[in-house]
Amino acid sequence: MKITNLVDLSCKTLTELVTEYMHGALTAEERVYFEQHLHACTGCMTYVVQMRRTIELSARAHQNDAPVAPTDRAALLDIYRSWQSKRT
Amino acid sequence: MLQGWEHERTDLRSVAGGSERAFLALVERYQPVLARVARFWFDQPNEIEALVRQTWTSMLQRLDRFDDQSSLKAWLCVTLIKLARQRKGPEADELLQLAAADPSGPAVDPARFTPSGNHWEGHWKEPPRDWPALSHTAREPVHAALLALPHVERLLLALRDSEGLSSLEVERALDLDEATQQRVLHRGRSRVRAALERHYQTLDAREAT
Repeated sequence: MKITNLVDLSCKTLTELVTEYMHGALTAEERVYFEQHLHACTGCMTYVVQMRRTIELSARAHQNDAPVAPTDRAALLDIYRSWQSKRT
Repeated sequence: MLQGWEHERTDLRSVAGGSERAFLALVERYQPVLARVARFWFDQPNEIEALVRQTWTSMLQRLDRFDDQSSLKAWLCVTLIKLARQRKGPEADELLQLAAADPSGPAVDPARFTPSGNHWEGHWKEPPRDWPALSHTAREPVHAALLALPHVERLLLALRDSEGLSSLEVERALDLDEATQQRVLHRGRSRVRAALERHYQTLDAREAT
């Protein structure tokens, strides 16, 4: 999606560009228009803040996923010892 | 002071040199990550365990070829995903191809914006409201929204946003280019945001009554 002036950048368009903005994938020109819009539009500023918060909360939810089964350290040590013995 | 990557290389040298303690320290550090990622591919604990064990075996066999460009965590995750895809066969590849081909719907319901033919076309009819600073009530709706996402969207959110893998590392693991990853991430994050918005709107409505 190419933005060539500030008028092209509606709130609806901005909500579709937010990921590219956060990933640094917009051109320098598009980034300027994006940020000019943000400074003038509290709704879109709120939207971007909410997207950042969403990323944070999703990341935390994945980390807190159900606990994993206890590691079978003995089995892994066997793998390590067998690998070592083949090397020497 | 040693940087993170210098620590990792020191640890790997110790593992290569025969230190069981160093190997177990790596297991302690990375086993939870590997188990979390393995769950995206298998449901049964014995299958998850087998995949994770195979990943450690593969790491040891390729220890001398550790890629300087990646963190050890990313290297292990990429290895695990490649092994999982081999185990799953064409089923996994089809899933990834479908996700890549899936066209994105709008991030926000178009009804939220002023329709065409109006001077304010495409601008918020009613802008989103601020969310409360505390997020303790958000845990459940976020969890539910993540579970409702298509598999590849949830996987991408986990790898990029939570485990911190770069687009290049994810491309190595899943054969999805940066543009496709961005599209899938955008779709997934937008869905979770929409679920959170509905959650906070419900809370607001309850407080108002």
